Amino acid sequence: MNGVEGFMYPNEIGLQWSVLIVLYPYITGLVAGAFILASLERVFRVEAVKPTYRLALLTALAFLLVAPLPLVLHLGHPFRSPEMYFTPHSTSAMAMFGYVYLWYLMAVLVLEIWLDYRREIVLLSQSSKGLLRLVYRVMTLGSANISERSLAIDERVGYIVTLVGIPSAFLLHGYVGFIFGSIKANPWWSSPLMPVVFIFSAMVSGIAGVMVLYMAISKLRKQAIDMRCVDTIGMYLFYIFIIDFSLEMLDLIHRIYEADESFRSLNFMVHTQLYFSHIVVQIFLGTLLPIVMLGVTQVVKLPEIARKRIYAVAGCLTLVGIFAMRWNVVIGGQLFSKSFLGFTTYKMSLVTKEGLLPAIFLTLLPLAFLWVLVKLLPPWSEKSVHEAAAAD
Amino acid sequence: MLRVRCVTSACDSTHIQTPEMLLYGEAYEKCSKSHLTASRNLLAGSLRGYGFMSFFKDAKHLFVFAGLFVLAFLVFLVVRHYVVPKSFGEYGHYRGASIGEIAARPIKFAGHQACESCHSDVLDVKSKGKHAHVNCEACHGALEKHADDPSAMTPVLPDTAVLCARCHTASAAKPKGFPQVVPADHSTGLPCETCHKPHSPAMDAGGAK
Amino acid sequence: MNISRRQILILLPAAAVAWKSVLAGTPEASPNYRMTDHWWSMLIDIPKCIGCGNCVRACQTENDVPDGSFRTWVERYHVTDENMISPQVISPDGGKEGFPVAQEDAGKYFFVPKMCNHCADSPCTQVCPVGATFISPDGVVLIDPKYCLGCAYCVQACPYGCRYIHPEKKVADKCTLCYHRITKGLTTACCEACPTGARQLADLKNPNDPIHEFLKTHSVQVLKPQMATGAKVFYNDMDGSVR
Repeated sequence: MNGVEGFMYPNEIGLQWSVLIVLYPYITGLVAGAFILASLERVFRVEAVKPTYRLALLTALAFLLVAPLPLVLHLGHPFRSPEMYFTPHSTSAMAMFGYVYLWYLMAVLVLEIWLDYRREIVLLSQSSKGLLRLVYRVMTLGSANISERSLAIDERVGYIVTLVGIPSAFLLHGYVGFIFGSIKANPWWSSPLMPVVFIFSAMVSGIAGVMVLYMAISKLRKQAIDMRCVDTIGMYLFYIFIIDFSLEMLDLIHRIYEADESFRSLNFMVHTQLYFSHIVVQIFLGTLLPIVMLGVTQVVKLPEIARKRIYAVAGCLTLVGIFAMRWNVVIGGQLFSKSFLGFTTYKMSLVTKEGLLPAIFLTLLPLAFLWVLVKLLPPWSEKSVHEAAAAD
Repeated sequence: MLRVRCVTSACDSTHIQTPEMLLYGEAYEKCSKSHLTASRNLLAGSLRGYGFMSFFKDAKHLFVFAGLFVLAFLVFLVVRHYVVPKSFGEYGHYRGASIGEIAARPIKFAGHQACESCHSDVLDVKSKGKHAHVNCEACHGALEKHADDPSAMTPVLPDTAVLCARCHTASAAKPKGFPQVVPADHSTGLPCETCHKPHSPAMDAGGAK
Repeated sequence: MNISRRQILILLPAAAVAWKSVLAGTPEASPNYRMTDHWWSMLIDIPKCIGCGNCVRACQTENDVPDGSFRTWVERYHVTDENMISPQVISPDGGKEGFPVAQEDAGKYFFVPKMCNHCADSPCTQVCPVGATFISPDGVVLIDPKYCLGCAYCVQACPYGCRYIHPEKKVADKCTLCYHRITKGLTTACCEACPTGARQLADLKNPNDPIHEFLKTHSVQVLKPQMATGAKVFYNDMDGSVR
């Protein structure tokens, strides 16, 4: 009856958390990963990735602004969400969301972007016209001081913010892993590894995301791609991927070896309902294939065009694979009965508020935000300007 | 295009100058690199030599940013004071008044004591038979409305064909000692109350109609 | 004697409501009910359950439970294997209209009524982000429908599957142990409707409650004891195959 195999507790038959709840950890993962890439340059002084520094920060901001939307759409009473700020329950990991989000948005990301761009903001507030001028003037917070000492202070404070931002990024996404990992009722979720796996897969998706965006935007702007930059990103992506894959394999092997009461049911689920999304998309296409492709670039000296193609394809596969991972965790965790005697199916609707179309919209919305941010706070120097100058 | 000295005084190079180029010129990249290394020395030097007021002048924007945070926090505290329900936290991390609200929900089943206070004759019969511990509303349905105001609602007598069968239809799943029959074989189509009085169902002198 | 008792029993609920509005905000539902005097639980006697479904129907009537959602339900087990790993379990519409006739077969059958276990260390109240679900001072796990966001985290956290999101109200919902009845001296709707006494309300703080003697003289279990939820619904004579 209606997609149920075997026995499920009567209240378990319909899924509670939909594709929107798959989207939320995916988006915050991209935020955390993009920020870690930015911090590679700022804190760990990896000069090679500097061309993506500002883009990574803006990407993180664009995605962070969209992050609460899938949650709010999912709630039965979205207008009650301020209750999480006013009376957060200290024993609930989900209650942390409001404050961690706000902290990360304002005290880390917005502050760091503002400090890094402040000189440009002040200059643009003087040189632009109309509404845009007003926008920039508000962003200056009333100060037009861009003397070298004030910029030096910005630089120092920005460094500290990035330093604090790294554990904050881990917290922003790690707590999402803990939301699942701390649920003893659900053996597919309950694991101390869950926050760690989420963090590393977030880093993988964020880094791949910025790499793909950088390559795509450079192509759109008809700019040369800085190969030293993407080669370095590719290298970091490869090694972090290895760690991520090892963690996921550790979880899997541990489960298979211990074979506790949930194992038969979960094993059956992975081999039937989740076969395509877990084995084919997440593991093979989304993890093994990109790792092999990136691994090839690490050991074999390939021409630039081949490397570009590999990075683009591997990056896209990674992004799909990490989405599949979130899907397998969230949806997979609700497909089997807590009696371990049955399974249900997820019927994703199309146009309801938790359907596929809103999910697609929310995935594309950050790109629209990014476009606005890139126009407002351009991350790069203009080549055409150089050419005009050189001709002088 | 004019070539002028860099606007940042610590830098000795000359740059091409338009505001956009100041922002994005290649020269800016080179220039800002040297500024970065110089800045730390500059900052260290400035803290020693210049004093707090001068520092404040150069860090004013940070104080404004922090000030906005503090202001937002204060606004939050004020709003919170008005928005959080008064009974929240009374007994724990929840709205204490909700307990009373839940306790005040309407009752649908009156409870057997309410029935027995009026229908003591039925109680006398029932208490001697096998259905002694079957409460009235288990068969007659929810009757608080009737108990509240007997004339306002007259209960409908249940259909024994459906009612009795629910419990007494034989099934291998039911406990062995429980009285169960196959209705079609047992009564050959006759309604149960032909032979069994529901309040005391035993088929002896007192039971059969 | 009967007349005056009837008057009291009719007036008491009315008085309780009136009293409640007089003492606005006081959680006590009747003037002499003190929460700290009680610690509610329930006893379910498996050998007595005949799977008639009366309890499921009564609960639905008493609490306006929407179709397709269940505050209580009955499962029928058929255990044929000796290692109890794969019982055949059914719960057609929660057992609301009873169960299909089972043919005589090898193995054993029994019915297991399920409901919220009103856990003393409940994982569901632990995860609520705003404090919309809680355990009352008298041991009943309740949901505040005016405060609940409908995030369904508590539904995920319950190991027993007893929670659901109300399809119209969009808030979490579950068995309230008929709190509105037990605070007025009545028993729960499911216990009232059970024809065999398989379900019995119990007050662990009441020294005269028969449950104390019962717990001393019978083998009782809770569901999923390894979860350490402090479940307070005790099952007498429950088979090891019960999930």
